[in-house]
Amino acid sequence: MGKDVLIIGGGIAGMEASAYLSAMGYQVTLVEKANELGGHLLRWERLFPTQRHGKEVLSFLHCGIDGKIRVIKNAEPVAAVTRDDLHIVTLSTGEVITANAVLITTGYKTFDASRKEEYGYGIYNNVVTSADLEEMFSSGKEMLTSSGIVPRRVGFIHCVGSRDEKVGNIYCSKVCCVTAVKQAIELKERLPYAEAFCFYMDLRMYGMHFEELYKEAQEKHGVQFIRGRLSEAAENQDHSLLIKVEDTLTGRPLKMKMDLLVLMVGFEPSDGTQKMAELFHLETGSTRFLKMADEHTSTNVSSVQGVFLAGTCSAPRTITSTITDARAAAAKITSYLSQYSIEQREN
Amino acid sequence: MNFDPFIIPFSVGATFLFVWLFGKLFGWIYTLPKRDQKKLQRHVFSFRILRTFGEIVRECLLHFRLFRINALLGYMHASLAAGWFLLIIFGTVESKVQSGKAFNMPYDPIFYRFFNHAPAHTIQLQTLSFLMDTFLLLVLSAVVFAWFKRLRSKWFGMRRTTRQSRVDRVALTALWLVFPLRFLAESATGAIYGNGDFFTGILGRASESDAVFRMIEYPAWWAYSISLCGFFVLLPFSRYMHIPAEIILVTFRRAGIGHLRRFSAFADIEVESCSRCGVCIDTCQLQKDVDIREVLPVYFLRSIRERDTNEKGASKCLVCGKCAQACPVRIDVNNQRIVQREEFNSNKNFQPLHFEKAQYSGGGKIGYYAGCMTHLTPSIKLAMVKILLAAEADFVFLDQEGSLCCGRPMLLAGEFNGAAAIAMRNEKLIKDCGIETLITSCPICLKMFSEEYQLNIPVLHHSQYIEQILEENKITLNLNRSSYTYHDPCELGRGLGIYDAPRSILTKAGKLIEPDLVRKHAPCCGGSIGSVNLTHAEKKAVTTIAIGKYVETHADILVVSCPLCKKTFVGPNKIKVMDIAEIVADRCEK
Ligand code: SF4
Ligand code: SF4
Ligand code: SF4
Repeated sequence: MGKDVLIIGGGIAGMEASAYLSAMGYQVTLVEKANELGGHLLRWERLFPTQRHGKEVLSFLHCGIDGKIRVIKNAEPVAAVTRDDLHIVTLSTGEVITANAVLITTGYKTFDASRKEEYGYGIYNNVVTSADLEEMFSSGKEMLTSSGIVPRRVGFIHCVGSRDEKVGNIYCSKVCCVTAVKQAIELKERLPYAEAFCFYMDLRMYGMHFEELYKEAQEKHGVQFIRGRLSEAAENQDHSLLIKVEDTLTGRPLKMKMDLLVLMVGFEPSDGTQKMAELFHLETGSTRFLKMADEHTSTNVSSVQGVFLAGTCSAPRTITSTITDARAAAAKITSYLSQYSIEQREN
Repeated sequence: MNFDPFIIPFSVGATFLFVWLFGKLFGWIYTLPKRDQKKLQRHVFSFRILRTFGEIVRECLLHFRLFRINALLGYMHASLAAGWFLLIIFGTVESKVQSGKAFNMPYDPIFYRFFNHAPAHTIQLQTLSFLMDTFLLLVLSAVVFAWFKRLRSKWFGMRRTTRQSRVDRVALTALWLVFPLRFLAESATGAIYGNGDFFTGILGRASESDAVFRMIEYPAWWAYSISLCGFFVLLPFSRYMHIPAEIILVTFRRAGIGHLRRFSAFADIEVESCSRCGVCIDTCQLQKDVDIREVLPVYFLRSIRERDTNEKGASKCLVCGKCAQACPVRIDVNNQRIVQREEFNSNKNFQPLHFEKAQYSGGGKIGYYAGCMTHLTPSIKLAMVKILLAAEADFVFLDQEGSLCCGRPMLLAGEFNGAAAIAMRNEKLIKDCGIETLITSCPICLKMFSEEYQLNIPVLHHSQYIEQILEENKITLNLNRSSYTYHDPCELGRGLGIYDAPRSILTKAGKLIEPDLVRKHAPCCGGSIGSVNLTHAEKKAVTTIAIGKYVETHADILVVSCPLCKKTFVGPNKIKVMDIAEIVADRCEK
């Protein structure tokens, strides 16, 4: 066949799609901005709902990167032109790559929590994000607050930067509810005497086994779930936090003291995703994620011919769904490059 | 006595107008609260009335403020108003001099040339006749300009102009006809009897025979009289009501009469004083950025006048005051707006207020009041605490544990009773702390404290306080290479006139780069609590365009002095946004 596919972004989707396309006989080039493949997976200690280690999934993905795939690290596209169905892409290293198809797998970034200034991230030391907490977990060190004490009350704030018109993100990020449940359980496992509270708008336990995990959190670990949105946090003299929440079940405003506040930051299209949208002239939807040609039937197809999408560059997804999406994209690219007649269905 | 049937339309129109106007004036004065009636009485019978006359001449006749906006626009309005006024005054004098009587018929000056065929024989009459022609020429030039403005509004400093209602258009046509018809009638008479001056004599001098003039003379005088009648009858129902109303507005305002918390005589006079000049249109960001026109004062005031419901116009508006600062009639549109909101609220059922058990702490000379907005931007309050400590001030953080609202959001929503209840309670809480000076970071609270509370102590915005301690050398700033651009918050700038304090601080802290529109022309950030129901998408469009102008300055930091502006502007922007207190806290040394 001898056709070339360029995959931009060496995270979960990029790695899995590379493996599939290479196995199907295409010449695959995988470009990654960092000096290591794996993307966000590098920073997640354990995964919901199984508490399996992130490393295990990563090594599974690595097995797919065989010798035939050309991996270029520390590089990113800086220019792209199309000539007769060929995509000619210049990398930051100066190298020029010609490909019959391009797959964008540049993913997401977490919401910059300091934009919700009233929550005090970056201002108060004991306010962290879910990503920070994950790092605290994986560092293996003892969990302490900034004043060096073992936290006794920890609050998890859902929907930070998601479902929030004021910050311009109206969508649900899908993974943070269950991540909060997962992290609350992990916290309780480490610090059995600490109290954990989740403040949510509504709980989205849509995946298989998510609901079980939620029940476990309540029944086995005594995590408390309070329906309400945080309005503001202030710091006390001892660097603990005073939070104001409206309990929307009882309709009463609550004031609570917390030793540590964890902000469940949502998804936003990564800088790389935004840059690829510009470079390849891809349409973005109102959410700024890359637009799929059809939400039901062409989820991997972008608005530009020969450019495809996989993973969280087009919508928030779980790891499982990212892997499936990468495989679907591989199938879609194959059908495009082989000009299967199924391509004609839409016309 | 001079008489001809064609004076009838004019006389009927003029009588109708006078009766109507006196009726109106009487009604307005009658419905004034006693206290305001007294004020008016005292004003009218004092020397201050002379200043009022001065303003009437400057603004209602000569239109100084319009000249400042655009010279052509000013000329157009001034030449029409002043030209016509002078025609009336000198016409009266001319007719009296000619007849030699102090009392003659009121229509005599209007139709003077028809009744007096003899050429001016004395030097006085010659001068008067010359002046009358000059004024007529002046007025006609205004009509030509008005025509021209329809074609090239940009030359008159206006991108968009008013869309006139039907009655306005008819009245306008009548008005535009009055002076060409007068010219025609006087020229015809002038041609026949050889008494036209340099201007009204042109036609007579240009033609040999006067047969045509004999034919058109009489119908022309009729048409002139009818167009005058049409204009007078339509005046009370059209935009031209602004001519008498503005005179009354100026007088009332100078007498110290203002808005009440309901639709009052004063509000009605303001509504009638809008000339629909359209100067406000280009200033409004809702019109420019999201194409909402109902809010524009020109249409909003018209809908009040015509008793049309315009809930969108009342509720969407940002109450940013940009239009009001541009209005040459100085109509207090912001207060008009909230009074209208009250009308819409009165049939809605608001929940009783839910007071938080707020408790303020006393024990210092200076009280620092963050306000609810600043609690949502904690870096500002932390910065202020740092500054107060550095200045070694004897201070207390009044609402550290949370604040009761100042009441302004409710006031702006037209919920006057609720706002008053909150304000009263908050005022007491503050007074009980026994402080000597109040400093707040929130311009919204500041506006409320200075206008609605009786705290009887100095109330300062934090920028004013910082400026003060910098001058007293209680703190010093280490200058660095950062460049700043500054956004004037609506409530602090247009609302309270505080423009210089923040600028004086910034020039001490680094380089200040000003954008195109500053001070009273500065844009609204789009996050205003003044708007009751602007959608997020609409707000965002306003914000994005507003911030674009600051990004263009290439300054490192966009400095604001309002927590709400900060919250609105912070986002995925190309420019960093900070409050002025944060800038100072970062650089302050003892
Ligand atoms: S998954 Fe849960 S926490 Fe995350 S955005 Fe959706 S509702 Fe909010
Ligand atoms: S509100 Fe003022 S600026 Fe606007 S049309 Fe009326 S008079 Fe002119
Ligand atoms: S107050 Fe501001 S938003 Fe409202 S009409 Fe005037 S300029 Fe427009």
